[in-house]
Amino acid sequence: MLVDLNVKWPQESYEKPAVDADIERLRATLVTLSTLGYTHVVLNFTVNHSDKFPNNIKELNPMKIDERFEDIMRGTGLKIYSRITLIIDDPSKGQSLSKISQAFDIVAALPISERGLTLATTNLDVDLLTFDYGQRLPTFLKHKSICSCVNRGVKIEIVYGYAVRDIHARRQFVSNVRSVVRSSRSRGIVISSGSEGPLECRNILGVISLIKTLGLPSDKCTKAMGEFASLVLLNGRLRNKSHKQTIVVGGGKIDVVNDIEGIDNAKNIKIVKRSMDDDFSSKPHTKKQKN
Amino acid sequence: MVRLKSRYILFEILFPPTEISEDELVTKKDILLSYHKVSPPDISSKSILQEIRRSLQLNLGDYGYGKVNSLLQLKYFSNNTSTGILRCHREDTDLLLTALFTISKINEITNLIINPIKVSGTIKKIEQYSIRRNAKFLSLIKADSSSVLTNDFTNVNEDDNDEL
Amino acid sequence: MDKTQAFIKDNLLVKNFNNPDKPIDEKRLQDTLLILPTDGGLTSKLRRSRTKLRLNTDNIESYNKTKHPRYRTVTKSSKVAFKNYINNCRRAVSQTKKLILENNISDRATLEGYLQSNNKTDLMERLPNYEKVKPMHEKLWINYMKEVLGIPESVRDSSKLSINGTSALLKLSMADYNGSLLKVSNSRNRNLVGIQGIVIWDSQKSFIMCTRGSIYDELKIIPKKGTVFSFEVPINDESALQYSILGDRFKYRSSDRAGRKFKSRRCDDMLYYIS
Repeated sequence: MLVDLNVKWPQESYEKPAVDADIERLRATLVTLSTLGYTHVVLNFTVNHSDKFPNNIKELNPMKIDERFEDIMRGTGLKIYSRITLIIDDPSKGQSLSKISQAFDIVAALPISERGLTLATTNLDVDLLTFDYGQRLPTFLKHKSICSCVNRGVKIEIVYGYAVRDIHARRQFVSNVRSVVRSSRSRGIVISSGSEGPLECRNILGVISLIKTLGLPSDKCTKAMGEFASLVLLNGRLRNKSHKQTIVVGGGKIDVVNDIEGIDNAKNIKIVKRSMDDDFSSKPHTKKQKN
Repeated sequence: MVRLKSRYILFEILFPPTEISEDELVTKKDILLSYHKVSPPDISSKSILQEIRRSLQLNLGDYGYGKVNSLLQLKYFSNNTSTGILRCHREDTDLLLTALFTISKINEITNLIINPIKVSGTIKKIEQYSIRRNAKFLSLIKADSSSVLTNDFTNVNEDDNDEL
Repeated sequence: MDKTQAFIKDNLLVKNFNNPDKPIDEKRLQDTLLILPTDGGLTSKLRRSRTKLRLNTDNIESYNKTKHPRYRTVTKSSKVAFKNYINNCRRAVSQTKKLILENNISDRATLEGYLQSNNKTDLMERLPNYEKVKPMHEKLWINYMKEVLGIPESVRDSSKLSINGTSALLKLSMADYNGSLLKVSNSRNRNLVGIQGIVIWDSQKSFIMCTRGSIYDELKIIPKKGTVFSFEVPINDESALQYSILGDRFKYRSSDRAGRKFKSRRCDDMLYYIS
């Protein structure tokens, strides 16, 4: 599976809902990504952590993926998830994540100050740590904080969209990627597009060669877009769809990441037809052992 | 004597539409047809190479430009299918791919993506792969557009069918 | 001046001593120190020890009711017995396998007939029997699960079932899985995938299941590590609630699991589950 963990959702805050023209653009982006071979795509809604969030859980997620992109999912086999990125500036102003994380599949943190970075790396329950690659990093990244963060299971994201956009961002992107790779000792890195339009999407071959020239070992590059990124998805899905990763909703042949349609999101249950028959007595000895 | 080791890169030029409205039907066939278009005559071997060189100079500087340019050839490009084959030195493949990554326009034609598909050591394998891939696309387009097709392009690999 | 000293002298010492300025008479001390029994906590100590003694006997009595006096040996020998049972079953299964190969037996009835005619009924008794454990699942476990999740007896339309999924998950994580019908849905070991059976013992690191075969039943010990089990809680005749257990995060004994607070961990070891 090839995962893109970051496609920008065209909305800045909860007050301004997404415009239709932007959504049409987003649809084109999604189709482009599926043409380039991606199988799982995550829509990213970036919000300031100190902003006001709606109280109702149903309004917390403005994307309505099932309604808007159902035909794309059916037509191309693409699987679409939702993600929220919280811009963390002053840790004291933010609110608790537990409610916000219920409405989204993945929660990411984007620290823009040193204190925000300390909070995000130590005790914030997020799946992903990301940075603004178009600007200077908030502080010098230390091995200790980033590595402890990776050991906790939080992955670090590299967004290659900035390298496509313009030349100034590209310069900053290169130096930021270098420092992220150095501080994480090239462990636990995922690569995503962060694309705002269909022209900013790139194939895995191009992305890997770019990141490889920036100093990430080539085996980690391939994993960064496949395995590690899917682990982020798994981690995020398990947060809501399981009790502390023990019992998971749904099952059978399909796993919790790919199982979008079967699980009833509101009730958090999955109802299936009874297939594991305990009614052997009526038709004895028909079941053969699959061994 | 040491052989000159080179790599061949198969690439295609995609023309993604900027907008897809909500009531447009999205099927595999439509997508394929809208993305793989005939390249306008502005795009030629010469203009592509020129753009690659410009991108190399811009992103990698004199050093990268010189390094990659020591063995940079456009072996094949067809406007009808918008696919081409590039040749470069084995060590410089990543640099060339990075240059392709950053290209967003060729000769004032802006809405395109240069999409590298495959890197190989011999031009023969590249050609075979390209033929197989196109055959698969054709079969997808010929198939009933309303049916949902689950097989992906990424599933095309070398050991798919060797009779070609 | 220190107020507390004055307070002690005025209020406390006056009541007990003739001369509050000098509460301890040195002469008296010297004379009687060795003879007089001091109240240096001896009486209270004695009383305490006595009550302790009394409590102790109480404790032992109540203890006896719940725990066997030699419970250690009992648990130990029960472990041994269970182990013996498992080994017996496995031995019997391997013996039957051999017999089946030798005599080309293709179904259950012929196997039974063959065993009876050849005076090997003890082998048949030693073989695990799926029918025997089936009531454990059908009568006990399903009803237990329905009670735990609060599923009413008869739900006609399964889509109208109203239960809170999140709290159901919490309850399920603490529930007992002895007697459940589990199916290995995904595993690092590809050979395990598809095995289905009734759990007869939920041990710390594995599920011991009784699986059904076409000719004979088997006892299988499926490790929890690297395995995902799925199970269903039936609502009515047609539909069921589907859940799965991530074996990697479930490696606790069922008794420990009951009061446990689970923690999410990094899930790098679960890559097999999604790929």
